[in-house]
Amino acid sequence: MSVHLYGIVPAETSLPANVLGRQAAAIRPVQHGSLVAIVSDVDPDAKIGREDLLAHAHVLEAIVEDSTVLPMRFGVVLGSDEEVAEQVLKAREERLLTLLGEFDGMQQLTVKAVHDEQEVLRELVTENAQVRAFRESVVAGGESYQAKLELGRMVAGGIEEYEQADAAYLIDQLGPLGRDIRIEDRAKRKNVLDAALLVSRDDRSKVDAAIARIGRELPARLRLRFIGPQPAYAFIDTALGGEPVWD
Amino acid sequence: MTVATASSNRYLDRPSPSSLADVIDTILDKGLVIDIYVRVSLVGIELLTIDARIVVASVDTYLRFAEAVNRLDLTETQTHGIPELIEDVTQAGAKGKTKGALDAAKDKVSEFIGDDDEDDDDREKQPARQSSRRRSSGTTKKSSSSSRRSRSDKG
Repeated sequence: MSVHLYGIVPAETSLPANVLGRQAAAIRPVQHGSLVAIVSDVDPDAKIGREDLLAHAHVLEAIVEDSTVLPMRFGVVLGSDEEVAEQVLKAREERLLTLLGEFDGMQQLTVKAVHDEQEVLRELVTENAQVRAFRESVVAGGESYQAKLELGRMVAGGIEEYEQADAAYLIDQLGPLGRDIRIEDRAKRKNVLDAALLVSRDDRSKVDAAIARIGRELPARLRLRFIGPQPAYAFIDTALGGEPVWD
Repeated sequence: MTVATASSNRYLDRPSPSSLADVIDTILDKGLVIDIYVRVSLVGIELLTIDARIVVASVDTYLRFAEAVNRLDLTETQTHGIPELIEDVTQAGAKGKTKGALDAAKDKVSEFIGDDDEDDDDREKQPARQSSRRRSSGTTKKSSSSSRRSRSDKG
């Protein structure tokens, strides 16, 4: 039996009772000084399924609802509680305490925006005379391969313009709501926008209401997803100068 | 893709917990790491998530867009239906802008980490799982090198 590490919290943290860890095992604290590692027992040879990934995320999300937590990346498994205490908490004590102080009371909220493809295409054809004209000529011309390719390229360009405009609009709206904001690189993200907001727990009701308002005022082509609260994944990386704590 | 309704955005009053698609972006990619211990192998998942970031510009995408706009019925009024399935929004979120490419990639991810139960994240068709792939994707130890590599790529 091994020990899966979820994250690190200050010693006075009370753990949520309503959430199970990987392999439906109970989560428990391993303490060293004023630091506590959240762990659960795992069979290290069991195959990894989606439940394992979701359990890791949901344990951390349950903790961060009321407490500060430094999230571990999925996949850190140690041999025993003693190893966790000695080699993680004791060996990295100062660094971890500094980080906990830095992110005290902070949560991450993630906003992802996607386009409703039908709606985007409809708007594009309606608003863009060039696309509309070309579309008609493609249909009239018997839809040759070359013409369809050209039309598709034009459409892709139009979608790209909407994406850029919509991302810029949302960043403008979301930016002021958080203490900090991180935008996933365009090249990497799968969505129109993938934004992480760093928010103080005390500001949450205000921020939640503001995001709900943004959602109500969106153009029809845009859909938002609002995820959280999460540990400050996107910001802790940065706090470490782009480097993980141990590597 | 289901035409989600405008009213689906009303479900934003409170944030929701991470779905499978979200955790792939976060817990496999971010968070504190520790290298000197046994690490669970995530090689396959990391490769697949990189696959999922294929860019839009491809012949297939262009042809698909062309088909889609040609099929578009502009006389159709915006009869948005009932906000039946919040899952549709979730799925839309998982798919993102490169729907065609991502569907495939997402299926691969599902296939890879798919478990025997049908999680509500994936109502969609699931390809038959290949046991060989699953075997090779099992827990292998001491494989931190690949995740280090992918990290350093990001600068």
